Parts: sequence; structure tokens; C-alpha cells
Amino acid sequence: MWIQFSLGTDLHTVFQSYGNMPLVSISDEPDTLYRRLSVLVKGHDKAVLDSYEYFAVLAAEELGLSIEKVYEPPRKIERMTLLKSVHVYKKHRVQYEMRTYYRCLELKHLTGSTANVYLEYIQRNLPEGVAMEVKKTKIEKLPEHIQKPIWGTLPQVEETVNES
Amino acid sequence: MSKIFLCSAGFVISPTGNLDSEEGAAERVVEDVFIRCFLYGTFVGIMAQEPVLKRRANVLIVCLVLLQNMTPSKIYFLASYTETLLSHFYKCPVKLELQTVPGALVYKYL
Repeated sequence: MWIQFSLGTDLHTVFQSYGNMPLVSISDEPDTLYRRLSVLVKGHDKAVLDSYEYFAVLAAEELGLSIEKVYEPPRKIERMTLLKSVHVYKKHRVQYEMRTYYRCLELKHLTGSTANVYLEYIQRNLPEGVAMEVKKTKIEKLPEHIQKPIWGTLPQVEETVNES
Repeated sequence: MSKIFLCSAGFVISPTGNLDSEEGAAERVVEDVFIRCFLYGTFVGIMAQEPVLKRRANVLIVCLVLLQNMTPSKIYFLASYTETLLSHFYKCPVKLELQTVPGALVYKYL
């Protein structure tokens, strides 16, 4: 369901609660825990990524999140060498390239709700022409059947030696 | 995923479809061509420059600069007409950001 806004409205609209849905939801289930939240942004323009990194780091610091590291993976350039002319003239080509710059922000030890809020804020303010990939590393409790080692509990098996 | 497309005055930002391991470049091109033709046909003679199309997470934002040739009521009608029709075509919210200028835009005096 999408909502049509009227002509000339400001883009960053105020988030309203629709009907009687509360903005804050409380549940008894334990919150998911994330060991690492990795946000990779890609774009064509390095200056845009610089300013977005500043914004994301500032937002994380204001929210009190622990930042593991912020680094810049090497850029990738895709080059195409095409024929310059429509017909014939094989020796004359034209070259195009598409550059992708990256920036990675890694946060550690987040809860699920914190991660959701942070990611929503970050993604709502993602600039045009920039793509984002998010990887979350979840911490789960070890299942019960493998919590204790079994090499004391199994019955002793008699070893049979084959004499050939 | 948010995207931006062509801007006039020689400054080009392409949609995220052209980034490494991103999809959808061809669809964006087709959409953009259609939207430009549609806008050119709706606002005949009053577009001061090429429209700027931006996409932010499913919302399509069209930034237009118009000349002040028509009465404002006609411009309002055309603007809401384009908004509703384009949002019905592409099934996404389409916002129009209009600006009017008295004369032709000048980028540089030589």
C-alpha cells in the first residue's frame, strides 16, 4: 500500500502513527542480538559517500552504538571498449567506464530493535544514486542437544580386532 | 535502494542500476525515457530545462523548472494530472517539485 502525497510537500515527511497503532511496541520475547552489523554503501561519487559516512557515524555515535571500524574497500571500474562508428572503422574505438566506490561501516554488539531503528534512519536518508548492502551476524543460543559433550555418556563399545 | 538519473547542464548521476552487482539499469532507462516524453507532451512549451528525476526507495521525484507562460491554475491542474497518472502507471508514489522562472535559465555569461 502506498500513500500519495500532495503537490509540493516536503520530502522528509513527519512519521505519523496510522490509526491506533502505537509507535512503540513492547513484547515479552527476548530481543535478537547481533554480534556485527555491516553496512556497505556503494556509489558512483566518492564525495557523496564521504558525506554519507560522516552522517552515519554521527548518527551511530549519537545513539551510543559501538563502531568497530569504518573503512573504504577498493573501488571497482568496469570498462567497455566499443566501436566508435555505426558502420565499419574497426580500428577506431571509444572507451567507457563505470566506477563503483565503496564504504563500509561495521557496528558491533547491537540488539535487534536498535539495529532496526538505526537501519531505518540510515536508509530513509540514503542519497540518490547510492546503494546499500547490510549484513547482520546474529548471536543465537546453542541448541540443547549439543550443549554438553557426549563422549562421557555413551555406552562402552567393545573393540573387535580383525586378524587377517 | 535509491536512484537518481539525468540532470541537465552536463552533470550526470546515473541510477544505482549501473553500480557493480546491481540490477535494474535497463528498466530505469525505459522508465526515464517514457517519463521525459510524457512530461514533454504535458508541459508543452513551458519547460525551461530538462526534468530531473530522482528515486528514493520506491518514490519517484520529478523536479521541473517551468516558465511563467501559463496561468497558475492550469499549471496546478497539469501537475496533479501528471502525478496521478504516473503513480498509476508505475504503482509507486510520484512527487512533482515545481519551480517557475520568469525567463530562460542562464548558466554562464560569456
